[in-house]
Amino acid sequence: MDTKTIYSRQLNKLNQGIKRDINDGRLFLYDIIPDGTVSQAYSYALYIGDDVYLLNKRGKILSKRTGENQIHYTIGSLVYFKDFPRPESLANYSLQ
Amino acid sequence: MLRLREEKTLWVFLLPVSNSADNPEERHIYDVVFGVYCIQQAGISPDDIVVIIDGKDRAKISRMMVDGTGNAYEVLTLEQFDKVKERGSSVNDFVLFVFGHGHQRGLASRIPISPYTLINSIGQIRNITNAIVYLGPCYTGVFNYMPVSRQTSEELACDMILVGATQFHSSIATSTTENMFGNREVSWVADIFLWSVFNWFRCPVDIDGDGCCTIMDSFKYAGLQTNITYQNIKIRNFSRIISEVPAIDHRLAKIKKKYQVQVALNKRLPEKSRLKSFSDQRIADLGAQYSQQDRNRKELLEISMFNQQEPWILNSIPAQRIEF
Repeated sequence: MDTKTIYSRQLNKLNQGIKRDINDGRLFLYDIIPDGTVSQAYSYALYIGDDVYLLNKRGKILSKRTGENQIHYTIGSLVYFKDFPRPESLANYSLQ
Repeated sequence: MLRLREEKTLWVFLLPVSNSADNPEERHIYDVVFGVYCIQQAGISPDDIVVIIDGKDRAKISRMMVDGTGNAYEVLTLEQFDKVKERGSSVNDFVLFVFGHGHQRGLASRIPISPYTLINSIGQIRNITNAIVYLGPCYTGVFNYMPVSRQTSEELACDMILVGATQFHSSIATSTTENMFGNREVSWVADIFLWSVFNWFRCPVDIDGDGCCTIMDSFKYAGLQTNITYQNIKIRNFSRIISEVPAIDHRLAKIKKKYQVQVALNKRLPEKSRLKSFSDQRIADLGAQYSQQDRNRKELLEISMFNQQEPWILNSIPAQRIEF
């Protein structure tokens, strides 16, 4: 996946705890490529376990998509926040 | 001494999906992507690598593989396992890495994979001499103590070595950031045992001092690395459990109450109205917040308090004679 970093204020409607977990790699945020098949209101897809939530451009959660409720969309880059910490590599715990 | 790099070896990555989900969890796909990328970096040709990832979203899964590894693998589904058997029949050695969720009776998979199913499927591959299976999921101790040695089971066509992350506990995963293809920095919660196995293949270490980097060394390295990392996680999380879990419980109760109120209100709103649309969004938002907090709570308690890791190896004698 391509990755990109943005400032957290760009998604000011998204919960801070969720943002922290995105940077920590617990949750995954992708931007959605507008390809004409999906409503332009949807700008991001947030993956929490098996569930997918669709967000608008300010990070507001608009709907949850699971099972029969799926819609087609094309994901773009994996998104992280510039102003939240990212985890270190597990190599830092490496054997000497 | 047999060297996998010099033999004709097939490297297979398998990520099944449970019945209850449409697609694998993102973190498990990144475990696979990282593994394939490491094996490539270790000098293995993409032509000798096969990737099986179950799930409905084929386009997304394929793209994650291409972007993370730089190679356009044909990502197979579990139904296409015959293709793997076909490829396997033209090699001497077969290495399988298993990802995803474990189950008390094997692997969490749409097509049930019990220990016997896995062993018989590999046993049916013609011509292979050695099969090595690394199991990352939870409860993989159920794959231990099986008839996999040619010394004791004469009907077996190949020697099978099984290496598992843990016996009858959940396997553990923790946050990491790794460079993938094209210097892409990806953060995900990685299966620690499999991460360590791949790190060993990328940079093999002779742990037992016999002068060779064998499958046995990969097991010892990954076992040690898992427990060292796990100890660090426990130390780091000790104070968090005491300070954060009561606060998380409080937040969960608050979110749940708001959710229940919103759901009750939602039932009284006219369909397709603006208010109903706002209410639906509010319900989705509260659901996401609850899920995020609940996952953190589970991670703190299930991983750091009620767990231990016991990496294991089955059929260890051939493992001492097979070098990477």
